[in-house]
Amino acid sequence: MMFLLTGLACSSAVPEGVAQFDAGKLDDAIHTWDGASEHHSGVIAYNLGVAYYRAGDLPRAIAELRGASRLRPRDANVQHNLALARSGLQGVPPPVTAPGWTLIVTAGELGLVALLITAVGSALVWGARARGAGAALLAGGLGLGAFAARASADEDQHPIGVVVDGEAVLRDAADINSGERLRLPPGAEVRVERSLGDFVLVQDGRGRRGWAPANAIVAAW
Amino acid sequence: MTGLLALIGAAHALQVQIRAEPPVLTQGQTGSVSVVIVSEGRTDAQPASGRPPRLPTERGLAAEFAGQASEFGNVNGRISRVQRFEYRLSAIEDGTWTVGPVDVPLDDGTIAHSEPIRVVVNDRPSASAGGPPPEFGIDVKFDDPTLWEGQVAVLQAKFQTRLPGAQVGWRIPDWDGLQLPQQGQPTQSDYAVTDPEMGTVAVNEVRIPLVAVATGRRDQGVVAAEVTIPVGGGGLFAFARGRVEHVVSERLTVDIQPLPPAPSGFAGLVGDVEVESALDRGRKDTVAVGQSLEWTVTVRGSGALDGFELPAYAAAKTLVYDKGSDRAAAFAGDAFRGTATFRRVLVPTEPGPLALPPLTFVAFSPAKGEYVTHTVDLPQLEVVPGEPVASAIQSFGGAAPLAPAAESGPPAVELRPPYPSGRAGSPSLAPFLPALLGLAAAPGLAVLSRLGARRVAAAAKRRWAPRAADPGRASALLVDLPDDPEARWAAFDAALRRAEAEPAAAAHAEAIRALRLRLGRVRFGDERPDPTFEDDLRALVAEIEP
Repeated sequence: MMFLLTGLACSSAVPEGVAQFDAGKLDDAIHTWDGASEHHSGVIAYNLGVAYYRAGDLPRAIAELRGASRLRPRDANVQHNLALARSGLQGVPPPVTAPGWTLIVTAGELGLVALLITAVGSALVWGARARGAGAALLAGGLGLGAFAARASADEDQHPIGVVVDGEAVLRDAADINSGERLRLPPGAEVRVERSLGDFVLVQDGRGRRGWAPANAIVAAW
Repeated sequence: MTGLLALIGAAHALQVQIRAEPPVLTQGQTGSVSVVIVSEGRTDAQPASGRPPRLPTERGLAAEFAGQASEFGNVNGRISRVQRFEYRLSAIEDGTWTVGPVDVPLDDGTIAHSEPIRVVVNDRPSASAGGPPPEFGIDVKFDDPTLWEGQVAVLQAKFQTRLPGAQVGWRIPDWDGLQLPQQGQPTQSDYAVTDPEMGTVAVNEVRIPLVAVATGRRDQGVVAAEVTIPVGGGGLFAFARGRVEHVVSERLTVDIQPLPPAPSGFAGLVGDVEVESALDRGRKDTVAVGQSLEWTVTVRGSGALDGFELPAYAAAKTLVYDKGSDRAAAFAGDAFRGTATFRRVLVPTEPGPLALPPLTFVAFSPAKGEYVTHTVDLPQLEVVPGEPVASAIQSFGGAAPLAPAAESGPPAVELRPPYPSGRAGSPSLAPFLPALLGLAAAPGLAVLSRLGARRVAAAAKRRWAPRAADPGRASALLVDLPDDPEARWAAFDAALRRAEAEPAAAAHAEAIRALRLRLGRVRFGDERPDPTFEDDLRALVAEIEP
């Protein structure tokens, strides 16, 4: 119920931002959508991506659209705009890819399906109707639920980030004085492995790793 | 084998290669040479016969055919066949000698040709007075401990042993300032060298390519080898016992120099490379307006070509499209070689003479220690007007050509608009999922647990009550009591009668009589319940029966 109220209570931010977007007030639209909720929905993330693209900030557009892609994997508009934003950048390494199943379902949807299967299996076992099938469903649902929980935790701990505003210098250690490994241009998509102080350890689409300043990377979620 | 396929696969044609292991021998030793033929099963012509090809050698070496093998591999989704012909190579005279080339006749009438290789034979030193050579040893080193940033170095780790059956496991340290390239995998090879003084020496050799990604003096630590040496004969079930010994190398360090300030046009490539270019004009001598010309640029060399991209190319009166690229890397002998093939399509748009400008890029040459400009020249073309005929439309790799944006204009693809409605927040189910799953599963798990516990208890009861299995005893009648009250009291009656028949019952006559009265009262009297009767009966039976 709390989730429902939260979602319903803030949904006016979406049309409000669209009105500002249509009037050409991109900064206002971005501010409205960004402040709508602590955890952006797929719609908000997509709309922010569109607004940033229109404002010419392709790296932030890519970051928001990657976040939207995670929540709305089957949305063709998200994939279209993401490909469009990427095509506007030059000299950027290939993006970090996510596991193939995330292109079809989200971890949350998998969790809901697991919950349903578990409940059905439990009911069958309880009702003594088809205990064998019920036990199998129960086990399958718990297994799928464990996988979904693990996948969700992995996504939260290792989000995708995008280099914004300027080149990101990747170093050997989380120290401004350590050796420089490589430089990533704005728009490069990386996976954040962990953080230490003001630095984050990232890996780009070519498997190259290094410590980058945390303020040079915007997390997609 | 995978590395060989990866390197040869980039060229997509039947390839013949000669490899010597080791490439350096001492006079009197015997090593091995392989002739490897890689072909794609469907498209390439195949060797006309399965006989081993003739392997010519110079007078300082002698080759003798030792065997052959054939296997299949997968390179970029294409099935490739690898035929390997093995030869024993004896080092007769010191010097540098040529092995090969090898010519393989194909079934389409052509001949596949391999390049020859060089094998070095060193003079045999005089026998040392220091005693017999060691049983095993390792030799670990970088091919070049002084590197430039971005250069590929090769770590060579070699294990040699005279002990038959000895095995080695390598422990490689975490690299400091070095990392594996994206393309190209470490290789490991096993071969034997026969030496007239030392006998047969088995060699395990590992080569690891590493890219220098930092600068300064970098300590890599040591490489450790765990050697398992068989001891004694076969034990139970023929598993031989073995003793384990550990050997470590000397400390490995590399000095990585930063690159000098780069000139404009530096593409980030560090390595000694050669560039080849081919412009396919089809079978015609003239080029027409709108004709697609496939332009292939191949860069080969010692560098890590993972992230290397050719610079953008633009030419007047020409559209340029990117058709993709392939990269591969593998060891060719001791050297790490990478290959990158870039394909572009040029489409002339106006008739007349067409002078295509050269493509240049700058790479850093570690051998020379300086930047080298590589220039790819293209021929001048004469473009004739195209004929207005219907033809299939080809598209290459994306919507827009590679010409600069100012010339081609904004992309025709439109941005999809924002959504006018929807939820703003996205609360996550993840923190609550384990608890919700537990709640959903709880009823079913409780039932399953109860069923399982009942089964376990029944099994335990059957296992721990052997005396009650005797049907002639009172305790046997009290094990599986029926649920029906009438039948249950009848069973109590029967158990009490059995207990009375026991020899020890005389000492409990009063208790038996009291239970008999209580039983009669419940079964045939006022039928008032007697909840403690069963426990009292069980206690009496336990006392009476031994």
